[in-house]
Amino acid sequence: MAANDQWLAQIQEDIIDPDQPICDPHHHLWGHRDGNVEPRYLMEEIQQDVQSGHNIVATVFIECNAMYRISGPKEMQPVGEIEFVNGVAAMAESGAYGKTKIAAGIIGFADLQLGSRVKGVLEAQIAAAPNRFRGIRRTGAWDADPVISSGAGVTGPGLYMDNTFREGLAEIAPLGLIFEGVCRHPQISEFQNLANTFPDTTMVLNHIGSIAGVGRYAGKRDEIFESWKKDMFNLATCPNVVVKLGGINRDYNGFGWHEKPTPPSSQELCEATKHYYEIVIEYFGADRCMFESNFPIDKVSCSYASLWNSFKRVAADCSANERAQLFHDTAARVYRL
Amino acid sequence: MATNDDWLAQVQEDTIDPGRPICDTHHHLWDFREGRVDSRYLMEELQLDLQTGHNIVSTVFVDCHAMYRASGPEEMRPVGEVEFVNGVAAMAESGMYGETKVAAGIISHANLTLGSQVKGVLEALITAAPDRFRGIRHNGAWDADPGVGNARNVTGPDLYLEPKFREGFAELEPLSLVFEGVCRHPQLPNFVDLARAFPSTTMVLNHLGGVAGVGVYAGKHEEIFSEWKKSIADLAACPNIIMKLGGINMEYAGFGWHEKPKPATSQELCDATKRYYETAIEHFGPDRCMFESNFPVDKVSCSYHVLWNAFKRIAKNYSAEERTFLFHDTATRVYSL
Repeated sequence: MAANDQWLAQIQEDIIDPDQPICDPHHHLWGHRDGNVEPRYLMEEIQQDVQSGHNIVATVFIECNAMYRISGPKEMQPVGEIEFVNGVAAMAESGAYGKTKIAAGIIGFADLQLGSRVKGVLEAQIAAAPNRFRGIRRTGAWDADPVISSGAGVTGPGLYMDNTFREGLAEIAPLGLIFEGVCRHPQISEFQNLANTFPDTTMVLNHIGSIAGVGRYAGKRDEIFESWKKDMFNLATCPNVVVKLGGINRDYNGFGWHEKPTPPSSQELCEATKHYYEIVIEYFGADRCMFESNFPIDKVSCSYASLWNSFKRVAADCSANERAQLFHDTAARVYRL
Repeated sequence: MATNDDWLAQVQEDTIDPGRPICDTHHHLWDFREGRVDSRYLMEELQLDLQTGHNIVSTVFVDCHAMYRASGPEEMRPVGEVEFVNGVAAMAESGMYGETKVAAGIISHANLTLGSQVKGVLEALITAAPDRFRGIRHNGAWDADPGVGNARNVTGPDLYLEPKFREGFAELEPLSLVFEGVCRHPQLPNFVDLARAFPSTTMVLNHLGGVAGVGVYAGKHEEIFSEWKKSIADLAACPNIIMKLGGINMEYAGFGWHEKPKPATSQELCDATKRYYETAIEHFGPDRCMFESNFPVDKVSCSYHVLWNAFKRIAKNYSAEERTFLFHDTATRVYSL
């Protein structure tokens, strides 16, 4: 049960293109999470979302500080998250809960600021889920305005420029792993710098670069759009960067959906966000883009069914081949599903 | 919620010796299980039992055909069970559900009648939970009387004598794995024969040897006790056999607890079953015996709390050191916890 179930239930839509195979390349799972609309998001809860009408064939779990070991060396504590999620994936593969391969790919966390020592952590994570572990995410998101949420453990800008961090990042590609990054839109150039420095590392940018729209960015949507567009144009020159299309329905994005008496329809979501997605698809090409739910974080603003309906509206003018890439094939390739 | 919660709640007792550290060496985890009082027995349901007053510091999960993969090679499907349980163990080690290290040891299943080919399955099971997987159970229980209940896929009394089974069995010891066996009491000579053939393999006999008391065995408790006692002496002469003390409150044991208007008290359980435990402990010694709950299977007859109270009554006259073996130390040695 989500805290906003009743609010979300006000919008009921027919499912658009219900057969389109979808890999949701970005969601979380957790047992006790205060402050989220889904304080518990485990097998039963995610099934309610993935079974709400769209054809979700597989998903990718993204790290969220879930089930970390309570003891043992600090840097190894995130291995607990991998074991936990691998267990949920096994439950899904039993077929008892539905047909979606939940967490067919797993992105965990490792503190890259350990430098080259992080290799031992990465190897432990591979051993914890040899068939599903695909890489790690380390958020670098930070903003001078405290209203814009920063990433856990990020104390200032420039994490991605840090030498020890980069020493750690250098350990990823040799192990066949990928890197996922999060920034706020003013930091996209840092992400690009990192991508240029590690051209052999597949780097997935989350949430189309996380455009902020509150605090010091409130009321500047058009101005920010132009600067973000330039940054994304430049970023697209890095062939190793893949972009996740989604994750822009959070409070800091500034659309304020969650403050309205009724949630947005998929048409409203599409109209408000389509130009962002279209730019990214134009610059990166569909084979380097993949839609993501970012659930249950983005559930604060809309239901799973409405969100994927909005993505289908956004992609309505794309070719069948492009849609296959955006909804499934890019993810299947990037995460080797 | 168990289907017999209300019935079980009629017996409420103070916890005997609540500080004593216990390793529960035998329980299951599953979902959608027909015919058991707990059709769902996952983290939350197990915690409801563990947190009823006794000091359960760790547990060992034992094979129960849970979350087997729905596809892939038949012999590899049990790997899903190990992945699933390893995930639950990781959840427990997050500390968010309680202090018990749930599934600190994992016993799953591999079909030993594959012969030496089973080695690949055993290696996959190890890989699925490298820190926790300890061995496999291959249930050999069979009785000519269908009322006694046979194990899955067991079609005759002599599985443990079959050459192909033994060819597979030979793969366990080189991988440092434990074998867990289940018989009905008339089959115990087969277990002895197996133990003599593989003196270097640690063999855990489940449920005091599977004393049956229904069907053709109904009303013959005294006669069967004498026969069983002889087998116990033969079993105990094999130093590689460890005895699990418990699992005799299932329907087939014939005490009929579940048919009474009120469940048994721990004193009643103790009075009715004490001689089986005492005989086993006398022959094997406490360092080769360990109490087990066999939950939620044995929950058909009594609550978790009452069951461990019964064990504490049974063990009352043993020395402090002997009790430590029975409740904890034999298990941590056998399962390398």
